[in-house]
Amino acid sequence: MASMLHNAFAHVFSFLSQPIALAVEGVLLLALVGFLAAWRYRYVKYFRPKRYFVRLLTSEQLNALKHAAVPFNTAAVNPGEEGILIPQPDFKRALKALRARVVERIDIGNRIEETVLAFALQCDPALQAFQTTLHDTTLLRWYQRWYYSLRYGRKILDVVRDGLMPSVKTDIRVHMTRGGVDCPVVDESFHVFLYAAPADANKVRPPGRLLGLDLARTRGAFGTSGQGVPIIDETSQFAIAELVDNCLYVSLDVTGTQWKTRPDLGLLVRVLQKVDEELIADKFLAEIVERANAEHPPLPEAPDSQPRNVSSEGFGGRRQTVLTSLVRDILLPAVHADVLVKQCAGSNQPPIEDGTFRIFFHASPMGSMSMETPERIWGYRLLKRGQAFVPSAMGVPIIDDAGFIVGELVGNNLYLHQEYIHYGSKIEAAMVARLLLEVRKELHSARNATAETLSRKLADHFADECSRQMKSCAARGLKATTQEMTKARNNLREVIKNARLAEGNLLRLQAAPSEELGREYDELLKLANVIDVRVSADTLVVVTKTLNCVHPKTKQKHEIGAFEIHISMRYHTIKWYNQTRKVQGGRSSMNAPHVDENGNACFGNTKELFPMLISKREFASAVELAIAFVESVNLDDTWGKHIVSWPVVAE
Amino acid sequence: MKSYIVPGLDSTDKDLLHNNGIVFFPWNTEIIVDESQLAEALRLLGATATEAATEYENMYMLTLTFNLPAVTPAGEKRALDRSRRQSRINYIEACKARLQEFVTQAQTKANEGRNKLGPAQDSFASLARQIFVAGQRSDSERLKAEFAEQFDRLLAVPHVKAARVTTGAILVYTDTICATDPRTGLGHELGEFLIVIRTDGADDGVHWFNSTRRVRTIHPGMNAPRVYADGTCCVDEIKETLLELIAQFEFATVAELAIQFVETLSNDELSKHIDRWPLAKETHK
Repeated sequence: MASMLHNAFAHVFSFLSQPIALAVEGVLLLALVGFLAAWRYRYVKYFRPKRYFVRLLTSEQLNALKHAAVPFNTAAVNPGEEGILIPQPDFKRALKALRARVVERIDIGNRIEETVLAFALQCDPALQAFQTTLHDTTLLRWYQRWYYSLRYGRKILDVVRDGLMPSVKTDIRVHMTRGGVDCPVVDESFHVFLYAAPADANKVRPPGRLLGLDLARTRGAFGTSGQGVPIIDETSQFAIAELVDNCLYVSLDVTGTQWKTRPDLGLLVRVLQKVDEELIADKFLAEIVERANAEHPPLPEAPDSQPRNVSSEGFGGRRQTVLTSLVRDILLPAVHADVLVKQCAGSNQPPIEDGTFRIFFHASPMGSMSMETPERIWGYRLLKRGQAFVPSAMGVPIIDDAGFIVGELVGNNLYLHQEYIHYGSKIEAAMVARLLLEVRKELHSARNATAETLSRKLADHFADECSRQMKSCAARGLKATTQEMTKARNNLREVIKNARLAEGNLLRLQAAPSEELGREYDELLKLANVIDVRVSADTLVVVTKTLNCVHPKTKQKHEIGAFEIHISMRYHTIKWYNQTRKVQGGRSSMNAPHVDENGNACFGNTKELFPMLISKREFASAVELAIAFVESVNLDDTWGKHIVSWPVVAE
Repeated sequence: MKSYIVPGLDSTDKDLLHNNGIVFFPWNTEIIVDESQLAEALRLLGATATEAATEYENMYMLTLTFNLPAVTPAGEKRALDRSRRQSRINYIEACKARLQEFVTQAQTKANEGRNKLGPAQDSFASLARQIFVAGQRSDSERLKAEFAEQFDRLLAVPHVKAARVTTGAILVYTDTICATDPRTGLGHELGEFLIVIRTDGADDGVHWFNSTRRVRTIHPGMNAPRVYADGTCCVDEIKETLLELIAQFEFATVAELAIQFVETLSNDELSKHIDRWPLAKETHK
């Protein structure tokens, strides 16, 4: 390009001597550069973002920005999606201060660009020894694998390494599973499976927005298999990954739909950031304990207190670490005794008073599991729901803010009615911490109370609780009218009336199910014109009183006679036998106007009705219809017009 | 020898077996009973069983069906002649196929009723509380004194042994409560109760938990004849009264009514099973 320009200049200015031509050439080039710079200054700045939005920065990273004198202010792009805005001129300095690089840019309007950052590893020589490798077995053709590996392989590995390596201190193997099932691998390495599940898991549709990023609606995701710790996005409550021992399964499609598609590195970075929070159990446990202690400070240790120990039975791995750590930090200062945490797997455990404080997980001193666990306890979503014990009422119940009795404190025994910790995940740890905090409060209040002050204290506590309820009601500022109250009262009464009736019916049926059928038999006997109902193994015989039929035109009542109606339960047929008389009417010895000498009826267009009712064992309806059949006549029918052959009933 | 896994027994059932000399082994939440003990165990439980093979040799999983004493309404009064009685039995046998349909329909209706009850109760409790709070003229000190007095009244309610307060609930512990069977005039010992009263009236307002024994009647683990295993009472007009009293912070009266509720029996289906509770000591004397 430069030589072409030089040749062109040489040709145009050939009449000048070479030094002058070179000088002119230089001036013109300078002018061109100046023009381009001016154009860029004038126009390009209007296309460039004014500010950059960055989210999910830790307090240390924010401090690093402050130390580097990078100006920023907090903002939220959507409710609950907070971050910081950094002016464009300072963004480079910000990246340097954060030791970060931009993985993805998203235009969010108003000349603000959101950036997804990956943070470079600190130069720890110990970490340099570990390798991150890519394993792609789902692409069958070699050139596809090469293309993907050359074009995106390094980028993926860098993102994974930067995202996990501070927490994972071993080799990392990244598997491009692309929507398949990969069994967990047990070896020295940490395995990351992209868009995979550890076992056959249902594919689900992810929410439209996840981790602050818009997802394409067509993309799939795996539901959790239940084998490991689910990593949950708090905003959407969607499981984005699953951690099974040393294997991480990213449930979302971050690999791209086709072999040429660019992987969604921004989404991968965000997922790994969440995973990192779960991986460093020590860090989140410290945060949780700090929060708990801030809410309800522990009492100072007694000077003569002995060093106490927390042991566990039936727990292992991460669950054990999380549990014992929380018990040690939250409960131990309050119990002043050794603590034993025991997994009871839904059994009854008698309370033991031997100086050790016992925590029985999924147990109760008596009773059975017959309560459905709520979806949330103290606002924390339960990762697995199941059956919980009903309270034994032998001790002090621990109640969550929605009224669910989470456990009971019976002397030195804490019973937890459900299996609240399945994986030892962050959310479970936070929930158990809250539970232990409530127990600590209970223990404190019991410890501080003396016999003399107990009664007064309880009365004060009662008064405080009532006042709190009054204040919370008043604070809502709602004022019901008398009409609203009357309406609600009437509605409640109506609902209670109906619900009571329905419950009564159900209970009667549950108490003696066959009695309901016996009652139906009794009702059959009470039907008008029915004298008796005899039931043999396969036939139901209804004996009736004398049945009459009204002539539709003359309005005269004709006496048809008393009947035996035979319903065959085997053949689903019905026959009428007149016990009083048989009449010549259409055919000889007719049993009724529409019933022949053999008891068979001419049903017309209702011939399917009786077999249907009999097959469904709806005998009450069949009998009612059978009687009505004899008592009615169709004069348009060949047999029906012989109604006049039956004697008229004297008035 | 065959061994049987017996599922679905609560601690009362297990106590019953143990007290009658049945040897069993715990197996997770179930128990294992030997073939030699099975018939007696089933007799004690009042149940019949069907067995299914398990993955273990000579181990069978049982499915229990509890036989409740058949209640024939006004059975004795009904003078059925022999043939009609036989017809009735035959009729029941012939129509048994429809039983499940009956139960499903009744269950659906009962669930519908319960589902409507929750919101109706919550709305009523909330409005009643708003009206009470709006009508309050006392200053906070006086109110506190009134509440403290209310607590003393609560402790003075007959059968109340102790009371505690937690966030959102008042816990009332009672001594042994008995109920009299109106059919026989005999007193039955229900046991000691923990009555949980929600101070905001939400979630049914009041729950009863029997700390002495739970009994299988129509449903397993009943806390009292008319109190289900989850501590809620059967649908009754008392719910309205209790919620209104809670809204007015009349917790002493709530406790009194709640105790009376378990002491009293009506002529409903649940109350008929009071004879499942042991006779009261005074009745024995």
